[in-house]
Amino acid sequence: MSIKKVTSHPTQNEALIFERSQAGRVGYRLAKLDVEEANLDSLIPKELRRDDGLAGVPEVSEVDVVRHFTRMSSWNYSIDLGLYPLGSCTMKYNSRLNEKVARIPGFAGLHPLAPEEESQGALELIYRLQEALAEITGLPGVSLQPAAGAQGEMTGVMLIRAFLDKRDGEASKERRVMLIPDSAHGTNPASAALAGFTVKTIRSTADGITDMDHLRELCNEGGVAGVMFTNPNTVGIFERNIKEICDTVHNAGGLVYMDGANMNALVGVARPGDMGVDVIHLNLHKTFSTPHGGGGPGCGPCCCTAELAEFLPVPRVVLEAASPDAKFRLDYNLPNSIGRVKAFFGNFGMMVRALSYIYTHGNDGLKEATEAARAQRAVSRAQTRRHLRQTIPVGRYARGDLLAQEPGKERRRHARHRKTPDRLRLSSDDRIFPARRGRRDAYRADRVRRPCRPRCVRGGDDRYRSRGKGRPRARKERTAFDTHRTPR
Amino acid sequence: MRYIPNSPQEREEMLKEIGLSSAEELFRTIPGDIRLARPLNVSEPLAENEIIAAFEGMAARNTATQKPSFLGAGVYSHYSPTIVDHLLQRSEFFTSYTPYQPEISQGTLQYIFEFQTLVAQLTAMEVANASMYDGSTAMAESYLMAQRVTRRNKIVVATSVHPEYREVARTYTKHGDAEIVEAAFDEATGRLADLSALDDKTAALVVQSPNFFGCIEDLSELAAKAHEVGALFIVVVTEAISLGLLKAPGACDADIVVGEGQSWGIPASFGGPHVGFFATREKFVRQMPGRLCGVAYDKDGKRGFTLTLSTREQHIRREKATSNICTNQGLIALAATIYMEAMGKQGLEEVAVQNAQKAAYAKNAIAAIDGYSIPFSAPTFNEFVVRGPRPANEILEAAREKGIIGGLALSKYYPGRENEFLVCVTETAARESIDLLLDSLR
Ligand SMILES: Cc1ncc(COP(=O)(O)O)c(C=O)c1O
Repeated sequence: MSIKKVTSHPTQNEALIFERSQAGRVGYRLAKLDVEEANLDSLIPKELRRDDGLAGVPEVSEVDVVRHFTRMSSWNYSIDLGLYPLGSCTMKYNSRLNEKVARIPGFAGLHPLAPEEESQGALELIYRLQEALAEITGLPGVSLQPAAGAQGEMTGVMLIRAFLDKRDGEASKERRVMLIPDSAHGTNPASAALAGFTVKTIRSTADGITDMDHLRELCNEGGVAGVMFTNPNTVGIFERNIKEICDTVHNAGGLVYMDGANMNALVGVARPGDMGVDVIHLNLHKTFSTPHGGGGPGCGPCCCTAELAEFLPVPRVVLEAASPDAKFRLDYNLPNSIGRVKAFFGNFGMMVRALSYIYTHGNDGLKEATEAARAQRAVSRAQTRRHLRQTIPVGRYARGDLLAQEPGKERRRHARHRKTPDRLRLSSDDRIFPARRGRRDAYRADRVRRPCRPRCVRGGDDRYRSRGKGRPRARKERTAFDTHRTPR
Repeated sequence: MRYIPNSPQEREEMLKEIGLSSAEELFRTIPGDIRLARPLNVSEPLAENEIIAAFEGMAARNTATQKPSFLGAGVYSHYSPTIVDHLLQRSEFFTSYTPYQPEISQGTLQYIFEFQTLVAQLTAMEVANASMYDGSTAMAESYLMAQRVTRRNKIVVATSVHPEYREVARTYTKHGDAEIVEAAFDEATGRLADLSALDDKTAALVVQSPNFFGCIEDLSELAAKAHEVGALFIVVVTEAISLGLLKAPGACDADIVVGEGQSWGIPASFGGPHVGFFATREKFVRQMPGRLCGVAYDKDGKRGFTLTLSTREQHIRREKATSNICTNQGLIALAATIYMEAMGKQGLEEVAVQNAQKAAYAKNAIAAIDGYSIPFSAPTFNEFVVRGPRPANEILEAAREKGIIGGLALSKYYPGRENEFLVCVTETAARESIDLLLDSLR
């Protein structure tokens, strides 16, 4: 006898929580109020209080909530189910050890405004991670405040802006052009705009790297504040002219920003600081294994040269003295700082995880991980190339983490197709964007359908009508879930 | 190495397959002179138990976590049901990617949709996005959005808005053409008082409620004043639990509501990761920053969810995008969603009422101590300012010696207010610890 593998969900349509709500259900219990209860009106007058009874907020039991999220989770693909072959958004194994240490009450329960003397462990952790990232990037000034890559970029280009404003004074006004390759991630130009720069696009050559002639031409046009480039770039190729790029931009009076989203291909092997880069951001949620979590949280440290360090966000974590009773301190006295980019100190919980990852690998392991990633990449690239030659036409991008690209070879479209169970597939042709479907209904679950109708997930319900005419066939799986619910 | 899936032998075979003789050769595209010729100077590899010991050692030096604390000011201590942390650690959520491919991300998309809906319900707004980094950046982005909507550039912001939020907004706006005017609060009530800066160039009036001093603002009146001059009315909420009891900003005619959702079951974690929220009127949705999830139907009429109105974002508009935000706080938004659903309609109200009651108990008792008073008369929720008989730093230092973190000295952010401190009392403060605080002040 064989056991049949469970391939499908008890229901294919887990209802929205609002549809599962039943008046009077509760899923929590608070401790009894242990102080004398005052008349609420005497504390907060009626006209300042809600009068809508929190209409629409669901009422469900604890097991309802557990089932709801467990069922929904089964609709996701994730790293723990298999490979996620993305390039610059490096998706790594998310170690459970990292989760364990981030949850130590001494970290998880720490208030950011607790006295410095009573938060020494957290400040030490930030300091240790700063040191490790400075060593890995070869750039000594580090701020862990940015919440994600894009905010790290914004911080980085603001450092460039602050540096130029200080160096050139009034004349800095003439320097407002940020050069960005056409293959750059969209956050690069968007971040440059926030720092008041206009963007000029650098062309790529046929083999996917920065076109040096075009770069020189743009530099000669003048007004160049800097360049933002990604290395390995977003088509997965190492910019082998990196030193020349840096020299060209520096000679034109600008600074060099490197998008470190692809640092996974370089850790332990080469350091941006040694290449002539002035400022970089890292993504701890990519290179340093903190979970991507369905779109965050991230942490986007910004690392820069000693020259730019005076402009880093305030406050900075510093070591008072290298004596045995060393004290870590928050330094707010940074008159040239670009200011704060986030309340408090950044996504601290992600820093704990990243440091745990670094300690697990250690010096050799970090390099070994880079080598393994690269070997894996090279092999699957060779295999994919064989496959693609037969199936997929030559396209513009081969977005992978690193191609040992031989010059002259055409780039091919990265196979984005992944095998997914049929039940999860929404045909993109049939995606109806909210604007076409009673606009208001589109962004809010409680307006998608009337809440709390028993057996509300019913075939033939008008909200399930397809875009075309006629009623859809009532489908079994749409009703399956609610059959156990007692009708009113 | 623990996290590397293949063995050295396997890797050697892989190298052979692609015709390389050593791992070094993998890096041949990197010029030799910029390669690192030495090992990184970071720690030796450590075993799991060594790491746990090292981190527990560091955590033990965060002695503040071993004391009852009355700190608030943007980060609050609230009870979080056990299932919140349990469910968010499910691999399928926790190790998933940004939901760009709806066909393999329906789980993530549906919870985002529910998060957006809950935020919209609690703030009484029409639409909310998938999350922002935190309350401070959500507020900064609201300034930029107000400028786009009104095509005006002056922002009038109350000085009773969280000082770190105002700092962040200054950073975000300093290279644009925004003119930021700070409006003073009333010394007697603690509420925003000076609206003289409002004029026909004003893009937005920005207030926080309950404000940094814990005082509940009269939002309806302020909304009317802002709308009189054609400005948007932006409301900032740092204590999301207050939404369970206080009149929703949307019901007071707010145009944009931004805030911090840490109170929805998220640990303090030394200030992050938390979750910012952003809600507005539907007519402004195209100017809203951040990801947005909408409902969609497939060709059989089956419901699904997908990211939508992406043309606002930087993938498409690049430097003309409404914001540069890409990765947001997805997993924390999930935790907040689980919290709100587990607490439900009753729980969200009950926890808010408990906060108000406990804080009132502490406030009245402190006011009755000789030499102590409550300087602001406006009603408060779970935080309030205390004026002491001597510098607040000394008072708090003395409390700390007795094993209590009594609150936050206002002079950290408001120089000149030396004798005042901010006290926050939530449902997690047992009566005994409140009484301990009272003793330490006597
Ligand atoms: C090359 C590149 N740069 C920047 C980013 C932005 O990082 P984040 O999403 O953390 O803001 C990403 C990923 O999203 C990226 O792939």
